[in-house]
Formats: sequence, structure tokens, C-alpha cells
Amino acid sequence: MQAPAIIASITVGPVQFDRPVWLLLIPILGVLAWWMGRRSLAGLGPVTRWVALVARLVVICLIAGAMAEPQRRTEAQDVSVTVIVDASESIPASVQKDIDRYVEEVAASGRERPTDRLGLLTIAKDSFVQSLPSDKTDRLERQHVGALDGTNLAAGVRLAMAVVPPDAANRLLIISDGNETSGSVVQTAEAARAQGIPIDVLPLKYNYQSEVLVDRLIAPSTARMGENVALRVVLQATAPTRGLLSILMNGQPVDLDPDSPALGTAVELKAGPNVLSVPIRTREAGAQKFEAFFEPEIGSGGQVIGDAVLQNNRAESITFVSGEGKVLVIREVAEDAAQLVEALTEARIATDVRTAEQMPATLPELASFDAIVLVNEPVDLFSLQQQEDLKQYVNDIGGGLVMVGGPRSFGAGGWIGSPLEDALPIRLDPPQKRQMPRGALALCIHSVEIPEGVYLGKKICESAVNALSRLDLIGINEFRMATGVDWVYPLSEVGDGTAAKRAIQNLEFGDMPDFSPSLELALKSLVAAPAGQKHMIVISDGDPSPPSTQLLQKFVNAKITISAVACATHSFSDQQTMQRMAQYTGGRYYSVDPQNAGVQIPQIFIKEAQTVKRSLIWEGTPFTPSIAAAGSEPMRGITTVPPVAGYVVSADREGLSQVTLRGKENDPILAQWQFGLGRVVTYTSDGATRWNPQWVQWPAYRQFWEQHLRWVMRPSGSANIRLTTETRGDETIVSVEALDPQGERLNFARFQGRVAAPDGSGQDITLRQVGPGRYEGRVRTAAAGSHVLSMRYAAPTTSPDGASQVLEGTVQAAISKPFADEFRSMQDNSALLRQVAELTKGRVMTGDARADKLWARENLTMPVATRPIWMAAALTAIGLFVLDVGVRRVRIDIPAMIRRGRSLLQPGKVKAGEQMAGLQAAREKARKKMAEKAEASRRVEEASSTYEQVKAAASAKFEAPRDAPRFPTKDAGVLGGASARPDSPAPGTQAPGAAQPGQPPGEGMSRLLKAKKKAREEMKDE
Amino acid sequence: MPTACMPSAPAETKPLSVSRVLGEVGSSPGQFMYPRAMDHDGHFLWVIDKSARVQRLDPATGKCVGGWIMPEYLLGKPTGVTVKPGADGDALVYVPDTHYHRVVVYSMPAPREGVTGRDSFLPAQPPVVATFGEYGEGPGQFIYPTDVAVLEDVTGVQRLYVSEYGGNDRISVWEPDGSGYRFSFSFGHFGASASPDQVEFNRPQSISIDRRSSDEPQLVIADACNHRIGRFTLDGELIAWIGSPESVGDAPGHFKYPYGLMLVGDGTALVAEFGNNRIQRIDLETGRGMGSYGGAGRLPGQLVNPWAVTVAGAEVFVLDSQNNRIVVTELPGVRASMNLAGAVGVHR
Repeated sequence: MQAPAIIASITVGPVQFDRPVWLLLIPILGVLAWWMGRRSLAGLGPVTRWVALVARLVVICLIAGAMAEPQRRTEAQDVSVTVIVDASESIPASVQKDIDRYVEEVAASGRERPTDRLGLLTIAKDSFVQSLPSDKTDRLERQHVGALDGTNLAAGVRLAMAVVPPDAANRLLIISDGNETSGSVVQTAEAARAQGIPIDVLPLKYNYQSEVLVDRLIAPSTARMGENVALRVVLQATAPTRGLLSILMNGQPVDLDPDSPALGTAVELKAGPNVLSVPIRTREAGAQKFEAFFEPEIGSGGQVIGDAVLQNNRAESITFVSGEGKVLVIREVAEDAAQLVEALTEARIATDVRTAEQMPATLPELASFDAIVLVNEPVDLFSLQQQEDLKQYVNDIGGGLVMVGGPRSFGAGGWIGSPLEDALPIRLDPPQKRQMPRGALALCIHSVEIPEGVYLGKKICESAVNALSRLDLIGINEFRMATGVDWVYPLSEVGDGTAAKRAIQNLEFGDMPDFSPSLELALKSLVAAPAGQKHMIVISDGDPSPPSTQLLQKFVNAKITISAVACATHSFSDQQTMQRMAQYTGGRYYSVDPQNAGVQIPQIFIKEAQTVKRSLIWEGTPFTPSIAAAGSEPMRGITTVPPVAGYVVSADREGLSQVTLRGKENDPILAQWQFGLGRVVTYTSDGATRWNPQWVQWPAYRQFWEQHLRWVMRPSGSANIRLTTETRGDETIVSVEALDPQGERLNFARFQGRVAAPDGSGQDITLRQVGPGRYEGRVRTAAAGSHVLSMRYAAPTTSPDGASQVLEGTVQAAISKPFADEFRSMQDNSALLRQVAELTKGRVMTGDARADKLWARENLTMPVATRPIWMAAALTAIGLFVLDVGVRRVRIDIPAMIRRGRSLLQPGKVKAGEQMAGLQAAREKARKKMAEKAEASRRVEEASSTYEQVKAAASAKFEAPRDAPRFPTKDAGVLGGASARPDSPAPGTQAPGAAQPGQPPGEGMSRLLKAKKKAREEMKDE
Repeated sequence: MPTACMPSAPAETKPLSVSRVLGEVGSSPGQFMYPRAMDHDGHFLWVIDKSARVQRLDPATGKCVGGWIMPEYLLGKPTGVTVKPGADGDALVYVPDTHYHRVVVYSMPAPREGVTGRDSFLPAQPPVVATFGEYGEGPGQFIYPTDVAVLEDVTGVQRLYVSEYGGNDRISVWEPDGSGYRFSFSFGHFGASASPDQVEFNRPQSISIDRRSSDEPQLVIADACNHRIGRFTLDGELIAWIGSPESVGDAPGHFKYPYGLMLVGDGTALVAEFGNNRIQRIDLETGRGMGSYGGAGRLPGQLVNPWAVTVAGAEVFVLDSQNNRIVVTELPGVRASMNLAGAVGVHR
């Protein structure tokens, strides 16, 4: 059965009824009460009767009202305007100043009430609250700490909606050029409309009169060694102008005009697109990075001529020059990889040996290598981006990776938790069952006083947790609001890290007055911890009171080191405090540059975490690892290996990984697998003499490494592939022309690959054949930066001797989006803002602070706070009900009360006039009493006659049969005297004084007799 | 050792009964960004926050009626302020410029009638009457000065007492010398000793001068990181400690980082306890706790890391630092008996 429809709430004055249907009781019960009252209240005086009737009606109203769920409404009076200011770089600096002035002027004079509020947000790539909505906010103080090369209006509106006060009517105001580079403000505006928040807009209008941008640099995606490639530079100019065009190749300037002392070439641009062609000869294999710069002319006064935004004067492109396959070997100490490199050279594998610092900075440059070998490399030498790049290099580009061990590698090198760990065929965390000494690390977090310090502080704690193995112990303490110095996460096993990471989210970054309690807390737990390596890291600005020497000595005695990370110190004294803690206990001291803290501090924490990771190294009597999978391709022909004296402990990984050599307790030593498009090999012992003294003399040493390297190396293939890309908006069209080694068009080939985006993500791409030897596919390339395309191909072909064969290989290309879209716009997009205003019933502001009424009340619904008041209504009703009863049952003689009051107030002080009045009143009273006695006499007569009737009735009651009618009720009414009306008692009621059932009949009559006697006596008295 | 007896019953901290709240988070006049220093000059409240703004506020409305931004603040901001009446209605503002290791004395003109908010701010700092101190551990040098107490009589300023920390934890005494001040002597070292022969401090955060009796005035010092309050003669001799590093806690008469100190004038003091998030009233003679108010939290009546407390008439002003507000309340029996505008008193 369907529930009856509920009538919507109704509002009466300041009261709102949520279930108004109950109010219908008022007329129904009101009429009923009036009708019944006519009879039941007839015996009362007119005033009393009306009072009683009104009281009843009010009680009915209150009870019906209480059932209707009444709420008291309090309507807000204030309006709050939250201004979203576009702080992105697309807005010229002069316009930014105009915005500041506008905000200051409206804040000073625009409020309609002094308590109207103003909130301020700045937006660019990210959004920040500069001032929460407040009646005190009087100007915009720009403290935007995020990147300015993007505009996300939608995120700004979302943030504004999150901070608007609930106790005021709200408006948002967007001050922007409307050029959004991410998000969709129109979509978010829908949410604002749903909440009834109008979005006003102030479109910033500008149009660069003279602007040049380097739209793109077009270079062929692939080229052959020594080939002349034609670079095409596309420049957009709004007006004819002149300038200097420069080209860089792999960071080195190319002399474009040998006749001029300048490296660049002077160019004259006409209004509109200009295409300049520059031929360049390729001299080396691999990824060649070209960059084009346009420098505008500088006037005599130092002013820039013909160009307003300089950020869009640069474009880059990458060409892959095919050549022999090459392997990149990264090691810090030459001896670590010397024998390995020698073996590879003997095997005719070209190597490029570098340190981690010299590693190519970009993914496209990495992509030019067929494999990368890391030898005894700790994770802290690689930025997070580089770790991500290495993973992408294998997964999306199809490059090979060999990680060779050593005391600073794998888990001992802090790679646990690194993005690259996912790409390895082993788990770096030792297995749960493996019994081994573990490390304990206590962190003391004080302050990270840099932009986004709280976020960064949490991140560095997480990176420390990630760098530890599951058996290690970690504890994090800080100064907390409620408890002072306390554990956020007490020193305990890392496990899967979930609990520790959850605790990290509760960090408060309290203002620590002194270091001692934090150090004492850590010391107590570390001393008791069942761990081999014990270490503490303190991150602070150094201004808490220093710990005492005695306390630091306790750390030394317990062999616990403290590393101090000083971030944004206030003085030399702070640095000294931090340095002393580290030096005294044998730890390390780091001074963090606040500008670079975001990169530096996580690296420090990962490096420091390695201090407790030394326990992951196994060293002992040399033993011969067992060959677990002799049939694997890289181990072909190798039946035994020499003994090893050490390795880094790790664990098997589930999935398709294959362990080919095992050590003590079945620890994997050599493992391999396919990861995405690429292949990975890990060897947890070292490549040099420390752990492998007999390996270098081993006759199969070269064969061992050559086979493994050739297995991971990306196949270059022998087909002649020419790949071109063309970017159209957010999409890039990839075209391939493929010829076989004989120069015939390569048909029915399968091209499959992935595109690695600059943000670390990847996407698949498949090409389909569109003509003889021609293939085409599309890929999304929205983000600015370099996208690296890597494809494997397989095609059926015929060899010169007529035999069928499958031609396989890979091909790479880079797609560059040179600069953020933020700098691509040369004029505003006010239409978008107008659409937002229209959608949300907002207004378009003029920019005139006096005319724009930001705090206008039009189109606003004032928020209302409601408070239930049914209890008050019900209690009042109960009180009035008592009054109603009282009015009918209690006679209130107000004049008598006044007289009594007077006599009490003035005892014995009666004046002569008052005496006379008193006598007259007494006389009047006596007269009234006489009249009443006469009336009483009459009643007595009536009573005596009734007595006889009652007597008869009483005897009849006991004599009559059971079904005989009782004595008439009208007689009982007369007897009661409460009502003179013979028909007033309700049927079934029993009159007072009448004989009760079971009462002896004589008792009722004796009472009547007594009444009669009393009346007679009163008559006599008169 | 004359240490006052300390009961150890658990403290009963009552929420403050809030009369009104001044300020809120923000960088506009009348708003705060982690305010850490406060004083009352008899007419106005003075607050310095972590945006390096010195603000003079109307204690009735919280409106800003004057102020300036410290000229140098990149290394850090002042953590203390003491204000005294100067000549011609000016206010003498003693700012221990903590992270610049110096004390600056300003002469701030009286507020202009009806001028509030941003308009009342000075374009630059007010006239500097004196500045003294430099970085170092020697005599006349400072590391992180935290507070200034002014000893004065009818003839004017007799001495300035300056507390400092950062390993240099001591009290320096300065005397007027012409238009400036000259270093006289210092007492105390970094440490936690309770011995009268070896006065040691760990972050003395606040100093007051107790002049309630006809006896020799006494210095009262909040030794924050040793969790105690010390009474000293004007020449730096220890009279008694209330609390100790070992007795840190929230029982009555115990402290946890006492940062702010306000002498009520009747032999009791209000202590703003940074670590206990409360205001505690103590008897300076016996060390007895006479009531605790506040408790950790963001709700009305609760506090987070209060740095300072001051009293004007019957109104108590608590600097609820991490909540970015000043809580105005009345505490039973607390009424400043001092003459804030005059030279006689126990004003910080």
C-alpha cells in the first residue's frame, strides 16, 4: 500500500511546521470543544466561561501545533562573497595589480552590512585559500605557493564551495580571463547551481597587441646517422616584428649563421603563422633533443619589443637517430662495474658508463638505450621522477634493465617501496619466515616550515616507512596538542605499512618547546627494541631548547645514532643545536635548502632509512648457489656457477618471475621476468670481487653477462621504418612507413606499443594498415612535456633465399608538447565566464568597484536555522490545561483578595471614611446573605420532598429485579446541586451524594437529613 | 632547598566561561596567524603573531586600532611584548625581537579617533626609542630573547630584565644609560638544577615583577621547559621554585611548559600553560594550585597551546595561540588590583 502523500512544510511567522497535516485538528477539535463547552460550561459566569473556552481552544492549538512538528526559524542576515582570483601566468602583471586594487576597494565600501563577509582564493594549477570568509577581510594578500603555469577554475570553485559559511547567504565571484587549462568550470557550476550559490564573474579582458609564440618545432621522429634533418619552427606573431631564433641540439647551441658572431639567426616575422626551416646534420645515435628559442628585440630603454609573454618562446622536439644498440651502465665506483663492462665490451656490446648524477634527465633520452644496468646503486641517488622514468622505460618503452647487487643495492640500498621495485622480478622485502636481525628507526617530527610543509612532512614519513622492510621497527613521535610529546605511531613492526601510514595522517606538527622529551621517549623505546641497528632521525627548524649532554651520552652508550635534518633554521644557533645532536651520537647532519626541500628531504629520509637496512645483507663462508632453472634462455649452456660470499636478502615474487639461482634458505640470487614491454634481470650478489672473488676468473663470466644482457636488450630489428607524428589538439596521429631489408613494402605487420606520458602514465597504441607498407594510429597527448612512443613490430616476410620468416623489431619516437596551454592563449575567454554566470543566475561585474554591488541580496535565499519547539508547545498546553480545570473548579474573588491584601499591609490603620465604607459593605453583605438564605430555605423544601422520593427509590433498588431501571438521573442532578438544569448530567454519570452501589441505603439518607437539619438551623440563626 | 610543597591530586580543569572572543585566523587587521605575544597597557591589547605584525586592539571589540609590521622578519618573529605608558599618551612598546637577538623599544603614538583596520596601520615601524643586543653568548648579547620586564619607580625606568634561551638560557639585566640601555649583569645558565647556588633555566619564557608588598620587589620567572616558576630577588638570587622538571604534569601546582605569566596583584598569579592547554591560578607563596581553566580543544572555553595571559579589571584575556583567538573571560576572585596606567604595579 502506498504511503499517503505528505503535505510540504508551511511557515507561519517565525514558526515552520514540518507536518502541517496535524494542524487540521485545530478547526475540528475547536468546533467540538465549543459545542461541548456550550453545555458543560453553562453553569459558569460569562467571563469564566469565556476564559475556560479560550483556554481549551489554545490547548487544542498547542497540542495540534506540537504534533505538527513546529520549528523556530532564524533567518541569516549576512551575505558572504568568496572571490576566486585567477593568479595564473596568463594574466598580465598589470592586470593582476588591477585585481588587487578592485578587491581592496570593494572590501572597503561594498558591504551592505558591517558583518557581511569576504573570502579570497587564488587559483592557478592548484587553488589556495588566502582568507576564509570574514567580516575583517579587507584585501587580497597573495601567498600563492603553487605552480602558476595552468588554470583550473573548476578546482577553485570546488574549494570555494567547501569554505563558504553555512550561516550566511553565499555568492562566488570569479575574476579570471576564462582560459582554463584543466577541469571544467561549467560542470562544477552545475553543483553551485544545485546548492543555490550564484557565481558572479568579472571577465578580465586583454588582447596582446604584440605577441610572439613558438608554436612548435617539427623534427622527424626518426632519422639515420649522418642524415640531414630539416627542422621546421612554427612561430605565431600578432604583429610584424623582429628577433633572434636559436636552436640547441642536446643542450649545445647550433651556429645557424656562421657570418654573425651570434649563434642564432635574425628573423623577421609577419603577422600570423611563420614557418622557418633549419637543416641540421645528425652526428650521433640515440635520442637527439632539439630546442628552438625566439628572443624578441630589445629597445634602447631595455624594454621588450613585440612580445608580451616570454614563457611561450620555446619549443622542443626529439628525433631518434638509429644506430647500434647501446647499454647504459650506472655505477658510482669504477671498480664495482669494471669487470662487467670489460666483459660486455669483449662481447661487442657498446656501453656508456656513467654515474647516477650523469644519468639522462628525461625519458626520451633514456629511451635511446637498449638496456640499462645499475651496479650497486642506492636509491637515494635517484630522484623519484628518475625512479618512475626507469619503471616506464621498462614497462612502456620496452627497454631492458639489469640490477646488479652490492652492499648499497636492493633492500640494503633503500629500494624497498621505490616505484622501480614493482618492475623487479623479486620482492626486496625479506620473507616473513626469514630469521634475521632487524633495524629500528625512530622519527621525531617537529617542523617543516616551507610551503606545503605539512603535506611534505607526511610524505617524508611515508617514504621512510616505505624504505623499511616489514620486519623492521618504526616509531614516529611529535609534540601533540593534547598530550605533549607522544608517539603518533609507537615503535613497532612496519608490517605492510598501512597502520603506520594511517598514523602519519594524524600528525599535528606541533610547536615543540624542547627536544629532550622527544629524545627521551625515543631512547626508552629504542633501548628496549629487539633490533640490531637502531637509529633516530630528527627533523626540525632547530629552535626547540637543545637536549642536555647527559641525554645525548645515553644515546651513545646505547649505540643509537641520531641524524638531524635542519629545515628552515632561524639562526646559526639552531644549526648548532642540530649539528651537535648528530655529531655527538655519530649520525649525519643535513641542512635543507627550503627552495629545494620538496626533493631533498624525502631523499634524505630514504638514505637515512638505509642505516637500519644493513641487516638485509648476508655475508659468510662462500657457497655455490644452486641453479634453479637451467633451461632459461639467458642461462643457456651454464650448468654451474662459482661460489659467492655475500648477497642482499630478498624474496620470491608471485607471478611470472623465474628464479634461476638460489642462495641460503632459498633466497633468490638471480631472477628474471618480462615486465610490460621490457625485460628485467636481478642479481643480488655483486659484479665485482667483494662477494664474487672467483667469478671474475670464471671462464663463463663473459658468457653469463652477455647472455643476460642480450636477453634484456630491446631488439632493434632490421626493417626500415620511418615514423612521423602529427599533433592535432590533444591527439597525435602516428604514421609509419615500413620497408623490409630488401626495400619492399612491409605488409601485414603488427605494430603494438605504448606511449609513456610525462606524468608517468602509459597507454596502449595499435597501428592499423592504411595502405601498402603504411600504418596509422592515434594517441592522446594532452599533457605538456615529452611523450615517448615505443612499438614492437612483427611482420611476415620472405628472405632473399625465398624462405618465410618473421621480421621483428622495435621503433621509438618522441612527441613534444613544448609549453603549457596557459601560455598559448593570446586573448581572454570571457564567453566561458558569462556562461557560468548565466547557468548559476550570477551577474557579470563591470570591474567598477563602486558600481558592482558584490553583497547585493538579489537572487539569494537567506539560509535559515531551525530549532524544534514541539516540547515547549506541549508543556505550555499542559500548563493551560491545568488552568482550564482551575478556572472551572476554583472561584477567584479578586476584590476579596485585594481587601485581604490591604488589610495585611495596613493592620489597624483604618481611616474614618474607610470605616463608613466598611459598614456599608457589611450591610450589603448581610442583605445578600438574607437573599441567599431564602434561596436555601426553598432548596430545603425541595430537598425534603425529594427525600421521600429517594427513600422510595432506595428501597426499590434493593427490591426491584436486576433488569429494572435505576432511579432517574435527573433527580441525581438536583441532588448534586452543581447544575440546576434537570437534563445536564451525562448519561451513566452518578450524581454526588447519591447512594453508591454497595453503600448501605441508610447512609445516603442520613446525609440528606443532615443537610436539611443544617439548613433549618441556618434559618433560625437569621 | 626552598621548594614549595606540591599537592599531586589530579587536576580538574574547567572550561573557560567565555565572555567574548577576539580575533580569528587570517592576515587582515584584527585577525591572527598564530599569535604568540600579548600584553595589555590599561587601555588596549597588544598582540604579535607569526606574520610579524604588532597589532593594537580595542579589547571591547577586537578591532585593530594601530600597528605595524616588524621591519625584519624572514629569520623569525618576536615571541614577547611588554607595553608601558610613555610620555604624551604614547605607549612604550618593548619588543624582544627573538630571532634577531635584540630588544627594540618603540614609542607608539596614541590611536587616532575613529581610525581602525588597515588605515590605522603605520606605513613603517614607529619611532625607535632604543635598541640593544646582538647575537652571541657574551655579556650584552642574546640568543633568542623572549620577554622584557620593566622595573620602574616614580623617577622612571630603573632596570630592564630580559629572558633568553637557545642554549644561552639566562636573564640579562639592563639599566638606562642616556637615551639607551647599558648591560649591567646577568644570571642563570642552561640546565635543570634546582640549587640556589646554581641558577639554571631551560627556556625562561616570561618574566614579571612582583611589587605587591612593601618588601623588596621580586622577580617571577616562568622557566618553561623545566616546567617550573621561580621567584628571585631583583639581583637574581633564588627565593623558591614552584614545580620542577620531574613533577611535570597536570596536577594542581604542577606545570607543563608554563609560557605566560600574569601577576594578579594579590599574591597569586595566572599561568598560561602551553603544554597543559590551560590557565592555572597559583599562590606564589605556597605554590598551591587554585584552579585550572581551559583544556585541550577547539571548542569555546577550550585552548590549544596558550602563550600568554593578561588581566584588565575583572577581565582575563587568554591568548589561545593555536586557535588564533583571544578568549575573554572572568575567573573567580581574579581582579587586577594594579594600576595598569601608572608606574606602580605588577605589570609584565
